[in-house]
Amino acid sequence: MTEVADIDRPDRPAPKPGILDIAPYVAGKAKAVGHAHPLKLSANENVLGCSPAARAAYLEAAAAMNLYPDPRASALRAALAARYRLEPDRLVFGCGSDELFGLLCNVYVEPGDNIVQGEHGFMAWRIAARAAGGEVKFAAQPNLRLDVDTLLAAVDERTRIVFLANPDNPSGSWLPHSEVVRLHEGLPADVVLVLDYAYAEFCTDPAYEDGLDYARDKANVIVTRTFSKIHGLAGLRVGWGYGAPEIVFAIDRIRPPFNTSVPAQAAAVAALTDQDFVARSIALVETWRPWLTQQIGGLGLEVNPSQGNFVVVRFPNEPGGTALDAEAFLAGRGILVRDLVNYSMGDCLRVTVGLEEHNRALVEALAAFVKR
Amino acid sequence: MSRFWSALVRDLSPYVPGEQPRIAGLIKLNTNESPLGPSPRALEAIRAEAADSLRLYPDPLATALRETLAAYHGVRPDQVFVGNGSDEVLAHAFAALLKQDLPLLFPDITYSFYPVYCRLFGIAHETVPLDADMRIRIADYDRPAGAIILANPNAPTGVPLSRGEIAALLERHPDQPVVVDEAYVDFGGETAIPLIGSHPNLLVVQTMSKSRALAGLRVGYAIGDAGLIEALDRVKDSFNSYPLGRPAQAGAIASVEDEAYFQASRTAVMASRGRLDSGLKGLGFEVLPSAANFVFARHPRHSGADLAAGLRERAVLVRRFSGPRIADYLRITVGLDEQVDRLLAALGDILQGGTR
Repeated sequence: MTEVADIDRPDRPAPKPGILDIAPYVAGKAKAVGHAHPLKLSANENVLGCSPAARAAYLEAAAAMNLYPDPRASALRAALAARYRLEPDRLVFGCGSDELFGLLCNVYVEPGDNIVQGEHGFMAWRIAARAAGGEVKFAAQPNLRLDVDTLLAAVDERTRIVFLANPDNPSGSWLPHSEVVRLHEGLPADVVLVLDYAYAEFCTDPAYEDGLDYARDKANVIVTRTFSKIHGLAGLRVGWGYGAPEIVFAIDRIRPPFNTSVPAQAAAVAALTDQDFVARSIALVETWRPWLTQQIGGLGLEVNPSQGNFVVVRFPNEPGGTALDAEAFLAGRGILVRDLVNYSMGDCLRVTVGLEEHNRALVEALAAFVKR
Repeated sequence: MSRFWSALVRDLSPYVPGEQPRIAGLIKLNTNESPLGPSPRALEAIRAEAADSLRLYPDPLATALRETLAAYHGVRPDQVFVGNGSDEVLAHAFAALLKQDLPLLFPDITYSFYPVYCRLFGIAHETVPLDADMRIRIADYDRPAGAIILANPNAPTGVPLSRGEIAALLERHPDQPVVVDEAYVDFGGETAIPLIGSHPNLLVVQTMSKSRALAGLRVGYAIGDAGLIEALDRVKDSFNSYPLGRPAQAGAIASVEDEAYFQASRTAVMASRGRLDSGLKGLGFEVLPSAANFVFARHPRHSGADLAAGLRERAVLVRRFSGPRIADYLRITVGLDEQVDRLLAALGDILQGGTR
């Protein structure tokens, strides 16, 4: 958006205090100068596309575009409940899981309250908390790791929500389920624990769990998931949450009733039926994530262990060799990756695991960068 | 209810949408959806997204859509905001603009989302009664106000204000944000968009759900002074970075570019409204003068509840609202001519059978 110089003019309506102090979210880059079709490895989208079944359902749904969507997303609710064996009434849907984070902050956070999150955690949480008038307390993430002790230490009597992404974005770090349990058990009963498990399917650690079973009998836990990653439907904006009835009902009180569209609901239902596509998406990451880690490590660059569909590469702080230099170099070759300046990880880049040819092109380009 | 809820959420009573049942052969005249469907070019654009784009995140700013809407309405792109349905656009307007020291004013009978949003955002408000003819009287808003929101045409009455009346309201309240919700303006109302240049306090909200028949896609937008739009963008960015999916952006652009279809479909709806209006009057109904894709009507000798129940038995859904002045009215969406005729036949049948 263009800058508006006269926004504070006394003869114009003034936004509420605090609104203009919030730094807006910065999305992954989608364009590279001089490249009509850049290789976009900057937003952790699914490089395999989406399920053919989801595409077919999407196309069919176009016929009903003049009708409002089902505000309860009943078909999608039933399909998810069956797929994961969940109680349908404990599901809630958002226009992407981003919207659920915003709604959670609006439900629980009042001025003077705070949320707790890791210092490198997802920007959407802190932005939503500040917009609700709350403060943000950051827990240290030594070496980019998720750290239950620092999270618990940051909680005080005004903490209303603790946000944990597992696997973590953008660090790629993860926690075994026992550590998540320790975090939950260390929290006061009136603090909501939000488990953002957007990348759950990509985690291969046998000590990891998706949190859904754990949330079943907890009064203060909600797990959020998304159709944007494993199902390749980022363009349709569907996220969901499963949690305590009290949390879910409260979100539904302020949720815009028609927040997920007709084609989005239809495609999401169909995506759940295509476990072959899900398996292929997981297999791709399982194959190429270790390869990227090994190859990039072989170039003398440090790769943070990741359980997402991406890897995080650390660059030295030397002139011409920094992460931002590398980002520009890659963009010059038509490869878009994600800089992490806004996540206090300015020495790192995040790269989505791509198809074989993408990954080889990336490593080749990084090799050229390192050897300059 | 839970001990975790803020006091705010505890007291909220949510908006109740019109029901969306699945009954075979049902004639659904309860949610003001278009019977004609969207532009074929919009559908084509939506389908084209399936080729290889569903996996990709949408443009978070919806820049191309804003530029298209700006050109269409003769404003600058920085005077356009887009959101996930006009409900979301309105929510952002409430959060960013309508909470002031003095109370927000709106009619006592209007879109039922407004009081919901006031509760959600903790906005003090006062309602201003419609006059005896169920019209908004601009002079009645000459009272201390922090901001004003009106639906024009009003919902659920369908009664419009002229652009001159909106201009007069803006002259009387130059220092207060004024939001005009024009969800139904394309069916015979006058948009206030030409007034934004001279009134930096005016925000006009429109939707693609009604006249463009894209309710399933969720696209709403606002047009106003760049300062107001910037405030909405700040709220949007603090709430949800990607509120409009790719099909929504592509379909909306194609719809706006298909002016011929738009004009033809809104003209057809207005013609069917005439048929519905005269048919209802022929059955003895009082029908408010509507500039929307619905009419608001009551019968002097039959309760709204009885009529709605009788229609439902005959597989015709209409919408009713509670409230002392409107409980006997039916809000009837303008359907295709054959749907209008079936509704009128069903009502005729009910009236002949007497009250139930």
